[in-house]
Parts: sequence; C-alpha cells; structure tokens
Amino acid sequence: MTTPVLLAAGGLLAVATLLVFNALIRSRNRADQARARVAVEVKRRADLLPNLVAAVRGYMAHESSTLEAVARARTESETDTASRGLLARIEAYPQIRADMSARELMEDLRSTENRIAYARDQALEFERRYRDLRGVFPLNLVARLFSFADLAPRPDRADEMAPPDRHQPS
Amino acid sequence: MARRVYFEIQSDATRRILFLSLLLFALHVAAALAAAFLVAKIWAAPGVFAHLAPRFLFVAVASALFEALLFPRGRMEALLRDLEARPLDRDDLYHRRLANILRELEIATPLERIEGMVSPSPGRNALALAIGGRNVIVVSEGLISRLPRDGLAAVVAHAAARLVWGDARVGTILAGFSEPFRRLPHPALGDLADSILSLQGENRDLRADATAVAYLGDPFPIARAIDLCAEDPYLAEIPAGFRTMLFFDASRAAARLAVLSELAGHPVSILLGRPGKVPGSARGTGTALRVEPVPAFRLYFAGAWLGPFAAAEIVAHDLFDWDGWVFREGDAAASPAAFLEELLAVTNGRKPRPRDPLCPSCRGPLAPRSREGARILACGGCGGMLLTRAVLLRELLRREEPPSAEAVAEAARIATRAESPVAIRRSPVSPGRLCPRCGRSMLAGPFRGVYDALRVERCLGCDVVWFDAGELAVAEALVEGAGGPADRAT
Repeated sequence: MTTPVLLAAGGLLAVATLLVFNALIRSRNRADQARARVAVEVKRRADLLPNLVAAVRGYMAHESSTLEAVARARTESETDTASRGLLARIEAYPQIRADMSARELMEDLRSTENRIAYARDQALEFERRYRDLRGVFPLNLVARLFSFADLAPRPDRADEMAPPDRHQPS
Repeated sequence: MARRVYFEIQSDATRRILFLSLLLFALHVAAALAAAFLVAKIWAAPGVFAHLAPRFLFVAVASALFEALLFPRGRMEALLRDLEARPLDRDDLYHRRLANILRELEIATPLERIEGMVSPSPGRNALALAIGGRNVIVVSEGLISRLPRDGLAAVVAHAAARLVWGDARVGTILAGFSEPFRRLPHPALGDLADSILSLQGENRDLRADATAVAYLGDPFPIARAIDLCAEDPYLAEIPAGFRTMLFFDASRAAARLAVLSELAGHPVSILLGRPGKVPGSARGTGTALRVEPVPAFRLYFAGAWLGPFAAAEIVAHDLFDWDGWVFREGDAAASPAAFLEELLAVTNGRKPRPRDPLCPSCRGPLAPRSREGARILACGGCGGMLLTRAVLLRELLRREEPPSAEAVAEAARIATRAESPVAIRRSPVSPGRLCPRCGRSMLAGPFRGVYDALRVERCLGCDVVWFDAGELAVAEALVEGAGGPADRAT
C-alpha cells in the first residue's frame, strides 16, 4: 500500500520538478533574448549617430559642443544623453527639414531611441520574472538543484551594481 | 486603480461574442433556407419544399459553416480591397515614420509582427484587422499627414491594443459574417446584422485606450489624437454598420476622453492643451468638392462581360482591343470600342509605348525629388512636377512648407472665378500633352473639376497628374483656402 503511494508521490514530484525546470529555462531564455534586443538597438543607434552628425554638421556649425559630445560618448549612458541632446538641438534648425536624407536619419534615430526604451522596459520585466521564478519557494529548491545562476549585469550596465543575490552562499 | 478596471472589461465579452456569432450564424442559415425555398417555389412542383426541407436545412447549415470557417481570410482581403489599402511606400518619409512606429510597437507589445498598410483617404482614421495570425493596421493618408509623430504613435498603439486583446480579430470575423447581407438589394437583413453587431459592446475602445497608455506611458498624445480625429470632416463617408465598429467612432470621443482624464489625473482641457468643450462629431463638411463620376465600361471577353472599368482602366486592360466591343453603363447596347469618344479621348487614338520619363513641356529629363516628405518626379529645366494621385493627396494634405504669397494671391484670384456646379459638368476636358510615362495623351481639365482657371493634365492610364512650375503651390493654396482637406479626386 505504501509503495504505490510513494511511487505516485515521487512521480508527481518528478513531473513538478520537470515543469519548474522548463519554466526556468524558458524564463532565462526570454530574459537573454530581451537583453540581446537592447544590444541590437544600441548597436543600430551607434551606427546611425555618426551618419546623422555628418549629415547635419554643415547646418550646425555653431553647435560644435553638441556634435563633439556625440563623438566623445563612449558608455551607453553618455550616448543616451548625447543622442537626445542632438535630437533636441536639431529641432532649432528648420533648414534641416529640407534635407531628406538628414530627416530620414533623424526619424530613424528617434525611432531607435524609442525602441531602446521599450526594449529596456521589456528586458527589466523579463529579468524580474526570472528572478521571481528563481527566488520564490519552493521553486528556488529546483533552481539550486540545477544551479540556475542569477543573471549577470547587462554589459551596457556593467558600471551599475548588480542586485544582491540573497540565496547564494557568498 | 482606474486602469485596472478598464483592463477587466473583457469579463462578459466571451459569452457575448459567442451569442453574437450564433445569432449571425442563424441568420446565415435562415438566408440559405429562404433561398432554397424560393428556388423550390419557382422551379419545382408544389410540395417539393416540404419534402426536401430537412435536406435543405442540412445544406444550409453546411454552407454557413463552410462560409464561416473557410472564408474569413478572403473577407479580410476583400475589406482591404474595399479600403484600397496599399503597402507602405519606402520612399515616403511619413510612411517610413509609420513603419518605424510599428517596429517600436512590436517590441512594446506581445505581437511578433504587425503589418502596416495605407488607405488613400483624406480622412483621419485607422483600423486593425486580424485573421489567422496576420495582424494588419490600416492608416489613412489624412491621419499620417495631419498627426504629429507622438499622435500617430498613439493611434497605432490603440489599434495594436485592439489586436492584443483580440477585439480586432472578433471584429474582422463578425464583419465577414455580416458582409454578405450588406450586398443584398434590400437593406433589411444588412440592418439586422448591424444591430446584432452593435451588441458587441462599446467599452472595448476604453480598454484599448488604457492599454495604449500603458504602452506609451503618456495619455496626452492619445487624447489629442482623439480630439483631432473627432473633427475629421470625412467621418460621414464611412458606411454605417460593421465598419463603424472597426473605425473611429466620434460619438464615443467624449467617453474616451473622460477615461483618459481619469487615468491621467488631469481635466480634459489640460489633456487637450486648450480650454473648451469636449469635441463632438463634425460631420459632412468634407464633401463640398466632388468631381463627376467617371463613366463605367464593361469589356466582353470569352463569353462574359468584365468590369466595370473606368475609361482609362479599360484601355489599359490586357484584354482590351480597339476592334472589340464595349458596353457603356447606361447605354441600351454594346458599341464598338473605336466608336466611343471617351475611350478615344484617353489615348487620342495612339497605342501606348514605354519610354524614359521626359518633361512634356521642355522635353528635359525628369528626376526624383523630395517634396513634403514624398518622392516626386520634377523637371530641372522648367520646374514642372509629375505626381501619382496617391502622392498628390499627400502633398495636398501636408503642410510642411506654406505656399508662397504669390501662390496664395493666385489661388485667391482663381477661387473668385470658380465656376458654378452646373458649369462644372460642361467644363471642357481636352487632350493634353503626352504622358511622360506611357506616351499617351493626358487629359487636360480643371483642377479638382472646379477651378477652371487652373487646368492640370492627368494620365488616367498611369494615374499621374502633371503640374507646370508653380501650379502645385497654387493648388495647395486653393485647397487650404477652400477650408476643407484635400479631396480624393483631382
């Protein structure tokens, strides 16, 4: 009598472990994919910015500091600031509106800024879901059993402090 | 708190949609039975219907099921055809903006792919259609041209929210269900289908607005877009019925603004950026300028009459033959094509031949140029411009470069000389210069069929319009001065 009950309980436990394992894998993959999307859009912006600077340099001769800030930007947060500053300053030059290629680049850059913002939101959301899944009881037992590590800090945010991992021995 | 409430609107939606679908399905079965009864009454002996009724019922149910399950995709295509929806033009800056917004929303929403299309309408409207994993958002040229970027993003986010919640899918399927009844000669069944559809529920717009606010993080552009769309003079042209369910509904603007005001925590006047009352519907002012309809022709081929086509369409048709027969709408009998003046006027008797685009005025080469965010062909020598009608609509709708003082003065002079509506019909349309694209004669006629002092040349076969130097600016000033947005026809 006891053996079938134990077998059934063991089977249920194994199925539950399998489901949790799969959920953890899916969640981690989604978080990785969302981070990759941020990286793609950031790369796209890095490609667009020099082209836009070259296209508007002739019109914005008096904005050398803004253009230099774009060229100097190295980290992602510096590029964020420089890119938004450039888009804001360009609005003050109506003659750029007649330059179709500059306008196309501006539109693409504006769109890329929006995409980066949306992609960051999405990455944060998927990272939170993964951390929740990995941290809540009893799912954290499965996560420990299969060594699901916490997500590393995003490369673009390497200078920021990673969230403390309270479930791993230091 | 309020946002959560609007997200829970779907609670009774499923039951209601099931009920609606069953009602419309019953309508299909009843229609099929009625048709079978009529056939039996006319062609068979009395009593046959009673004998065959169970089989008729089986056939009716099977045909309605067949139609319901297999034809929604075709209905969506038919809807897109009715709207004359076209893919986005990659060379157009405004279209590129829409494409970018769609790509942004693909990141912000759970939708993997959103297809964008444009309807050549001067109205301000957008709708979402979805069938079988295909998500389509159709936006009118008027909306793309008149809304700022954030406003356009707000409208598209609203449409995307309808896709996410499944409202667009339900709307497309129900629209497909009700469409056959609308094609019947008597409107009663169509009206019945409409009244059934009206039960679908009105709160879905509110939920889509709340979702769009969640995507964009800003209720202001949505409120201002609703305000602008509610003042669309072309709303009255949207046919009644299922399309009002898919399109923007001005009568709901006040309720939607109230919800947005609640979500934003600001009064409506602050949301709209101006004092004043909540907008209502401004209907029917955009139809003041209309041209006469183009005569329709039918083409006889392989034992069947094809068409109807416009004169230029029929001449450009692959099956058209000058030695063949053509039926003109309203005539008692078909006529030889070569005897119909309307067809002769299109080509001036010459056969089309392909050629490089040359200026019809100075014979210089025509080169692509950007104007108001769209690509046109312009002559570097004399300054003339060649535009497709779709691009002309964009040029007339957009206001990046205000017309010069000279153009405004010329437009005022022309406007005072505008002919009366009676004279418009008699306004002479004569063969013009050769079309730069096909080499056939263009038709010279009054701009938009009204301003006889400003005559433009059109090639109906290529669907292009030729403006001499400075004429397009005058045309824009005329449209602006007329107080109404650009008309579909020129």
